[in-house]
Amino acid sequence: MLIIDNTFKPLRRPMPCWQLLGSWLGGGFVVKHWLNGGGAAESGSRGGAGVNGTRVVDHAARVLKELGVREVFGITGGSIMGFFDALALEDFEIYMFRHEQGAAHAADAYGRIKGKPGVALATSGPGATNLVTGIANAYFDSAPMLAITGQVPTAVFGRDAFQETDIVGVTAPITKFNYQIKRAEETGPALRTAYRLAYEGRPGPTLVDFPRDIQLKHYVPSDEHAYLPIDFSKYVPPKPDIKAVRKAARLLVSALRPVILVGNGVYWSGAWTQVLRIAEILQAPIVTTLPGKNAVPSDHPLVMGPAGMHGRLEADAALANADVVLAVGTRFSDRTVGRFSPELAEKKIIHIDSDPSEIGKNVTPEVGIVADAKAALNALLRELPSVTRRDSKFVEWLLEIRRRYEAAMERWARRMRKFAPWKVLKAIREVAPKNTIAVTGVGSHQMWAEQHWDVYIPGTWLTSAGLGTMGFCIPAAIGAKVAARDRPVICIDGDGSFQMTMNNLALIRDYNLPITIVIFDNRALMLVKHWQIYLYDRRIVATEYSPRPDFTKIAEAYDIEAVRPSDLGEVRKWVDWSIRSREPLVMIIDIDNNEDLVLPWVKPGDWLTNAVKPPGLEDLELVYPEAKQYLAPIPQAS
Amino acid sequence: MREIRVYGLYELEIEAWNGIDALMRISNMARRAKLSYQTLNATFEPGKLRVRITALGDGFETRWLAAKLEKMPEVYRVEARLLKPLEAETY
Repeated sequence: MLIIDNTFKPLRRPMPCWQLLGSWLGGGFVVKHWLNGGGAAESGSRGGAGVNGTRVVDHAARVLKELGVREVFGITGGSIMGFFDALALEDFEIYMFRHEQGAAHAADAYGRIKGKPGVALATSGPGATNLVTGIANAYFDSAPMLAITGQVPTAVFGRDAFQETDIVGVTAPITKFNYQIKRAEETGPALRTAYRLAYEGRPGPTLVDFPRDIQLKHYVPSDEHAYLPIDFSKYVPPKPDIKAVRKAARLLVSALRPVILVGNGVYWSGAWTQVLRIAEILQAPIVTTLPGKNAVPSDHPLVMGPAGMHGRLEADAALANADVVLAVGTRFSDRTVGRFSPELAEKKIIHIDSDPSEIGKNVTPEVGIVADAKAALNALLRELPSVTRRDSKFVEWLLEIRRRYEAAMERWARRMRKFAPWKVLKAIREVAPKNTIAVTGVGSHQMWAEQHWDVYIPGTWLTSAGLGTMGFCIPAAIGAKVAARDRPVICIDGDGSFQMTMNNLALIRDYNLPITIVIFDNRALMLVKHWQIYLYDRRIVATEYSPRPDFTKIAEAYDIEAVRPSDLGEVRKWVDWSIRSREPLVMIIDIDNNEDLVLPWVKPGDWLTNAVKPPGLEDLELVYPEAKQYLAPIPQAS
Repeated sequence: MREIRVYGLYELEIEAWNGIDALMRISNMARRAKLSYQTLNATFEPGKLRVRITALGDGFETRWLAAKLEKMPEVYRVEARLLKPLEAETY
């Protein structure tokens, strides 16, 4: 206590009674904060309401406006209502969610579509912690978003005040940057810094924690710093090392079967034209990660689709049989490559990424290039000949796998008692315009969409890949629609995923956001059930739902049209109606959870060529014949 | 890029801004590296935090951590050095 007593200084004004109580309970720290100006904000009996326009929150709202922010997503509460008040006075569009997780997903999706951060707001305590899943989702998918959380007054920090949570501590491992404002004059710099950091370099979520007393202080900015003392230059990727680029070019030209692995870094860099050009020069198949599906058009003849746990067979075969892999903007997730050794370690890998910590993290490359994807690929194009002489046998072999795969899926669909999910996706794709933004939830429907939904325009595929967050679809589709009101948005969801955030359906009518929602309704947590069938001797535990609730009644309750189509013709008709008439729709697709096994499937930790294939393809070999000869054991001398 | 990985005692020196919050974020990042930590020393100066960490582990893992720390907005400078090789292994 003696040490604490040392911090006491003479009071400049009478202390409010609640602070005297706090002082008595907590010692000198309370007084110190108050002396710094923190606790004085609400000393006005009207909590700042009488000084509109000159509060810190008014300044904060104007800063956001200067940054170009016009829409915010969130839920108000005691510790953030002052900021909402200021935002309303500045004519922001405030989208009032029904759960903060939804607001965070909406901000995440908005950021991915707009290329600039979406903003999510929440009050302190539970409001802030409810944002956490959405922030983590944005972190693992490198999406730009800014979260602003209310916080209890500085005077009661650490006293377990009502709705106090150390959200800066909670979100430290899942934010690119977070910061707690402790003085009024930090507000502008903190918001500008967090906003800029969310998109600068590799995008990611940032958070600013905003104590209530500081929000409501009287403040007139003068000589304010633009930013916190951050060195932004570190986010400018270095120019590609020309020696490394030349080595990469030599490897690619001399490769027997070069393959390009595309991650979502290609989308953020805007490098899909360069990827396609290099593929055409090398006659190299392109495979993608799950998020990387967003970066290249599915209908390009060299795009084989996503590889990995639930990848397409021709993509798995391409990656597995490559001798040189040009990997761009990807972190080599185990979901994409199955396992890292021994097979992948034997390949020559050229890894391009703007984040140096990704190079060599999971796979040791032959050549690592730390650079912006577009700059690196442009440099590579300058080193490559305009044409290379490579026979097309490998690509033809992959396309033959595709033909057999599609034919087998057609036969499988005919045997299904209810809808075949991939046929539904193809039917929707037929009527949805090319610029339709497709958003998925997480579950078997997502994996079917990974395999069978065609992305024609980069930037039109939103999914929760890294974190795998069930409940992503509805709020993310709302965020996408706010970002692109002129484009159709389809939410491809599952019944389990839908039930986690369906309360946000209210926003669809509230704000006239006509999205088309397709629920693949198998009444199961199907991907887990899938693992139970294959890996747990068919012991089905806690993965099958009851028929409750009736989704048509849920939709009805939110004033949204709901349909249960009986055939693919009706699927096409209703989706077309929803898009053309700009009316929201909930379409429920009945799926049999005894049949809904997403195949092909690579077991966790297994190699791509060991994929469990769809029925009728058991004899299909995913090892390229020439590669097999190459790998054959050398006969032992007798 | 094929390299010789060296197991040993490494030292990381970090300069950052934002006081104990930065120390928390640096520690959060360090927890994710597969290193066995020996010491952590932090000094707070006006506007600057200095952290010195010693850890046992693989050079590759140390470099990963240094790269991650370097990318943190509040970090100004990271230096990693091998203090004492304990065992070398070629990968």
